[in-house]
Amino acid sequence: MADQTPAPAIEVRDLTKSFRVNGRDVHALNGVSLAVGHAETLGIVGESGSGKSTLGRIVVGLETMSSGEILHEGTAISGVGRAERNARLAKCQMIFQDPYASLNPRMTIGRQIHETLRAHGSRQLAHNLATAAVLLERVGLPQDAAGRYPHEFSGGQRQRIAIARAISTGPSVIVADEAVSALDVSIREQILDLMAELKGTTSYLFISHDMAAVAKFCDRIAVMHKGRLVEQGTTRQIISAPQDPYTQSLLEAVPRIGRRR
Amino acid sequence: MTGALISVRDLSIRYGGPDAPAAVDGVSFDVNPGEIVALVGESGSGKSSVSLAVMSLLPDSAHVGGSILFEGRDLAACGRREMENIRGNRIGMIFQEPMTCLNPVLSIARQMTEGLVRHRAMSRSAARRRALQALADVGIPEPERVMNSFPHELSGGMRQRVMIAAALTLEPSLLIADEPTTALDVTVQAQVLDLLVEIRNRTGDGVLLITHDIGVVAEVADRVVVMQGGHVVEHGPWEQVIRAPREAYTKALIGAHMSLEEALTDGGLHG
Repeated sequence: MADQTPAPAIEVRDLTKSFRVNGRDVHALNGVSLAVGHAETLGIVGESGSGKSTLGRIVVGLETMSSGEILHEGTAISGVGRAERNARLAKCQMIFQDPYASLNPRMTIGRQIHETLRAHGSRQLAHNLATAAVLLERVGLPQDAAGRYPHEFSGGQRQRIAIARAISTGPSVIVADEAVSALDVSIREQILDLMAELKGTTSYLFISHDMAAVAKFCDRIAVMHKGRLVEQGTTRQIISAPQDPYTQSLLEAVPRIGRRR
Repeated sequence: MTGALISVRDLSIRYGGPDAPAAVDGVSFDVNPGEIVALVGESGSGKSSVSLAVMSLLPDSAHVGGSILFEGRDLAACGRREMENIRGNRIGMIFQEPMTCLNPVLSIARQMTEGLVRHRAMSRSAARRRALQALADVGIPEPERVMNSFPHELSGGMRQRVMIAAALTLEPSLLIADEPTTALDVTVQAQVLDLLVEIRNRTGDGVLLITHDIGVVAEVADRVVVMQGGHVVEHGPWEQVIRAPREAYTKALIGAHMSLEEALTDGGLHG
């Protein structure tokens, strides 16, 4: 590259995803291009069916794209061999909306973090359990958490576990898909604070329909509607001076204290 | 007896036995005609148990104390038959996920007319006309087309409108809406809230709105009952509870509901 700017941690170019439904092509994503810089948090907002979750799933490799390009640190992953592609995808972790569904109910927490680390090449159980204990403490869980099962924890605690697992491999990108949406408001605050505290050098793709959470947590916001990116900008620009009519209607609909219907 | 539609007095609910810890304890409130009363609280506050008790839908294992009067009648003294008649006929119910309440293999027409034919002895054609009117009343653009659809062919917002319309066909005096907008997108949520307010204004029905979202409460409720850990912690007109909350818990709930402007300054991550 000619200029000095480092390549974004993750970039998607002209991403398209189509499904065939009843003999018709439905575009879940239609020419989406965006980039997330190093240690940057990009919020993806939009309503159900906007394609925001599909975008996140494609970025972490849970789904394939129909066409387009994904670049990690400036390298297109379609152009690299299988081993390198897997290594690059391993640097992308995901946090889901329902931590209970994303944790194995029959495995202790420590064991699950061990499994994640093992999948990434660290095979020693004792070593991995020690790592798990440190991680669980960092996300604010009691010391004996590693030996317990998912059902023994509250929803907020389970999301802390999911976060501990996501950061265990030292990912460069974390895709958080509605990670705080199922939590009570008071717990939501705590989890957002925790995620902000742990941010460090990790880049986040923060997918949410919760505008207030996005406004609090993200540096920039991209607004999606019906598979297309309708607007993107800094958080302040999007929240204070939205340009696209869809963004305006989305913000207008957010309930606020002090307004009556 | 005042003119309250529903009068809950000193309600307690225990699951598992009379000595089990109370999930709900000492809860009292009224819903008057034309009034939207919000029951607000976080998970575990007991708000859903209260709404189930009002609908007499608690499991048999639940031990209920206190009283619930509906239009002056003690619900505990009502037999199963009588209760079934009150539910649907006099009390309309709207739930969070319309898909689980609508029968997936029956057309909307069938589901909307069944109650009218059974409870009101209406002819099929009269029931159909009433259902079409109800769909139009809740702002459904093509009622004929929706009547002939099946639930899976409709969007989430449309299904919620259908469920509200179905509840309205029997002209209830009380609507119980349990998290009616929680599963909906914000723009659709705004429409459904407007619709609830519009129905209240038009029909004079009372509405018991159960929600975890203090923002929703602030926009539509006339009176607010704040619950925490099975107890009512604060209860009063919305102006008082929302604008000048007295209890620390209510203040915390309101404080946790960040406005977008507050979120911007609070975040501090984006200069």
